[in-house]
Amino acid sequence: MSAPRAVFVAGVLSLLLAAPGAHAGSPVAAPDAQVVDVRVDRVRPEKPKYVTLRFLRENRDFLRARLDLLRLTRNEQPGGGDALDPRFLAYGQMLREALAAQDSVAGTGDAFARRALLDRIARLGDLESELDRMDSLLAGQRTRLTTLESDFTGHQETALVILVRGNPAGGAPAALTIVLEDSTVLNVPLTPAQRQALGEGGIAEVFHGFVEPREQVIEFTVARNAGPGREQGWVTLQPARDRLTFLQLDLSGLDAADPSARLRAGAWVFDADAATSAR
Amino acid sequence: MRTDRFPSTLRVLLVVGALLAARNSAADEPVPFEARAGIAVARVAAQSWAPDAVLVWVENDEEMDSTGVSARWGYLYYSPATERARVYSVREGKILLAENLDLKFDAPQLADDWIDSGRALVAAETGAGAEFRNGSQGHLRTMILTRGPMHVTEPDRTTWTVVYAAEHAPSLFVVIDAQSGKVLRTWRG
Repeated sequence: MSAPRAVFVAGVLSLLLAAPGAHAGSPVAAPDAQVVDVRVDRVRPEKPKYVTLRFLRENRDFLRARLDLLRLTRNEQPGGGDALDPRFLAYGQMLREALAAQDSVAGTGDAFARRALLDRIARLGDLESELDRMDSLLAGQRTRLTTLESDFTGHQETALVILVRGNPAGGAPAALTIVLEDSTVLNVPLTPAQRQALGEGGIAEVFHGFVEPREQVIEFTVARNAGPGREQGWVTLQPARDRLTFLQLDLSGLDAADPSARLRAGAWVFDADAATSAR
Repeated sequence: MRTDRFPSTLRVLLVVGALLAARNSAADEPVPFEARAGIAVARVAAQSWAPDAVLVWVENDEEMDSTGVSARWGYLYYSPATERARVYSVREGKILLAENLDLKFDAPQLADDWIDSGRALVAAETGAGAEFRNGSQGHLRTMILTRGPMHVTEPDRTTWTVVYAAEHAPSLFVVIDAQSGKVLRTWRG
């Protein structure tokens, strides 16, 4: 979860910088042109049924028996070791190179002092070559830093952030429930600070995690402060592969008389390149 | 005269309509592909489900054609940490279905360098498949990529198993080494 959080923080900062006119209480306000309205269904949408792995299911007992036989004949034991990421081995080499470069710079400094003491005039050519050498060492450091940066900041996994905004007439709800399609149920209480932020036009983040890049149905249940019952809605969303997708649930109409206006949603994909270039 | 012209106009319209419908239906047909082409999107999804997920089974989810392509393939991943398996059914580069398998299927991880379904089918046809299809009025039914359960005498091999079925004869199974493309064994059952 830490990797997407880091990207999320970067995204929030980028968006803030990219949209200076955004509301002060809106940490991830997106440019309006990017936000796509998402339909909120009041009944769970039906999905077509597909059959998969027909042979495996038809022969499950046979295959299970074969796997058990393999276990018996091979006597496999789970091992604890994992393959080392070659990048981590490379980091050790890079560190040694950096230390060697540091020694070289120190040695170069000593030599320079001695030479300056002995002959301050006749060694200008040597001084120039030493400076060139330092330049090349600095270039080496720069390359190593670029490698580290590309390894740790360049890859975005498929991730979803769910935001809530809007101040219903009866006040912000105390909690909401999100059910993801893999049956994960998230009961999200809204803290007093979050509810106050919603009341002042701000946005609260209620979910942030990795998701599968496929069309999926997300269920929301929000208890209403004014009026009876709770409001339930289903949103069909396809998070973009290797991108950060934002889904924003607007609660401002939660207490409206028209049931279809109670929950609204919008979505957008965070464009890191656009945010960077806007800076 | 009028009664003759109307039916002929109607016939022309019907023919044009049928042609348009046929063209649209052909355009709507999903493009079939070989098994490896669907791996990338399935792998991304599997890693978001379980970081330690490994590919253990591949099977065609829709009919195969004679070149080893199918419009939909299923990719089964197993997570040793959670001891659960999840299948992704991919069509046209998108995941059409994702669901957990209601069976503990802790098969070994597939090797990476397996030949694609088209080449495996050529090997199966040369082995015994073509003869079976012609002699027993059979047809290609299923292609499976796995490691272990279909070839227990050499369980470390990743193998393609090509299954041919016929109405009045036992099915034919052709097991192919998924790295060399060599036929390892055939049996009827």
